[in-house]
Amino acid sequence: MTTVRDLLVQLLDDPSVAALPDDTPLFKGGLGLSSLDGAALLRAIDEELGVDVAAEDIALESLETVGTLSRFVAVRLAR
Amino acid sequence: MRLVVWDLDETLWPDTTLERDPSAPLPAPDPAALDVVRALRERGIVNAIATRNPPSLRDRVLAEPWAEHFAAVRAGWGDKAPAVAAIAEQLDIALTETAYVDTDPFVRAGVEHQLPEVRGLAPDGLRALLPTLDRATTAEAARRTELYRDEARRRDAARAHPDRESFLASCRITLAVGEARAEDAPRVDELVARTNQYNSTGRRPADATVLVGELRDRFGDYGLVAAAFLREGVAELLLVSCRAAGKGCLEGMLHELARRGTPLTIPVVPTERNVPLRLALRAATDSATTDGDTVVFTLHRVPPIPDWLTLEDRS
Repeated sequence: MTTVRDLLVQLLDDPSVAALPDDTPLFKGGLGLSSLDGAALLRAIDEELGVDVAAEDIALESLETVGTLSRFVAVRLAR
Repeated sequence: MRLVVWDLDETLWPDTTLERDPSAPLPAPDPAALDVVRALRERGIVNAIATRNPPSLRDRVLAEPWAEHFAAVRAGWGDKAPAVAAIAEQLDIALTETAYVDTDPFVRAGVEHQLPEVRGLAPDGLRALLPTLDRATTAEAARRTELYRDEARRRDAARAHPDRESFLASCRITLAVGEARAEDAPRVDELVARTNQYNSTGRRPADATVLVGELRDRFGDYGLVAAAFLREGVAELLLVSCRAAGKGCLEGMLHELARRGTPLTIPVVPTERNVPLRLALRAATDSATTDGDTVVFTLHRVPPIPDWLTLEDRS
């Protein structure tokens, strides 16, 4: 089953992302994603995993760290 | 002793990496050596690896399951002593609390010669020391290896994008902001009609002060790329052309809007397309609350602008 980390690895074309700690920020001070990268990630999550984060979390609070986003998606998938 | 730096070839594992087929899996570490590594870790002593091998070996080693016992791995062609010193510095551990383990007495002596504070040990000598070392007393000490590893990964992640800021600084990006003039109207209309990704509400308010931003950099002039409709501390509509994304326009506009009075609120009506704006505002504002179907971002003070951005008065 594809995970958020798998999609991050694809997006950044960087296998080392798979081993990053959960508390790595997605944006500044962490992976350094741009807001366009973040949007691309959410599109990929919607397409691959069927979770529309941008619609379910309109303030995008789940996009803090690798872990917060992974958990948000996991909780939606478990429903 | 707080740090033990291990040699790899013929010490931690019984092979010489370069003599192996590069496509073959890495050798397994010597079980007896790995037992010592685990025992040290239980005592809150951090293990690391310094090996004279291609730098690419580092990532292959870090991908091995047993690498979780090591807080740092260095692979390269330089001398061992600088590698040991660099690891100690990275982990912020004094050389006097550092040991270097190698089966080869010549290499040990070389390290001790260059770094007299470091204690060189053969694996057997280190094993013999174990009974004299206390167990870890705090949870932090027991987790020390993980903490160091997390920190190293974070640094690696940041290093993956090292050039972005200096690149932007080299671009000499300038945003000129001022109130819209009569001749700006067609372009403002166009921004309202055509901007999707960085469009906050899609609704153009009447009776608002319209601020516009013109962007240029050393490559050229982007023209009028941002507009904000401000009314009584609320940015009722905020627009940035996606051509200008990531070039400081949003930060510059927010700075200028907030300079006209705080708190400044920026309501956003979420759409499928405006995820980039929502993400950028999350990063650039002080708080976000949801009010029904609207996300309200708030600035309580004038936000800083990026170091690489120059703001100008457009009058």
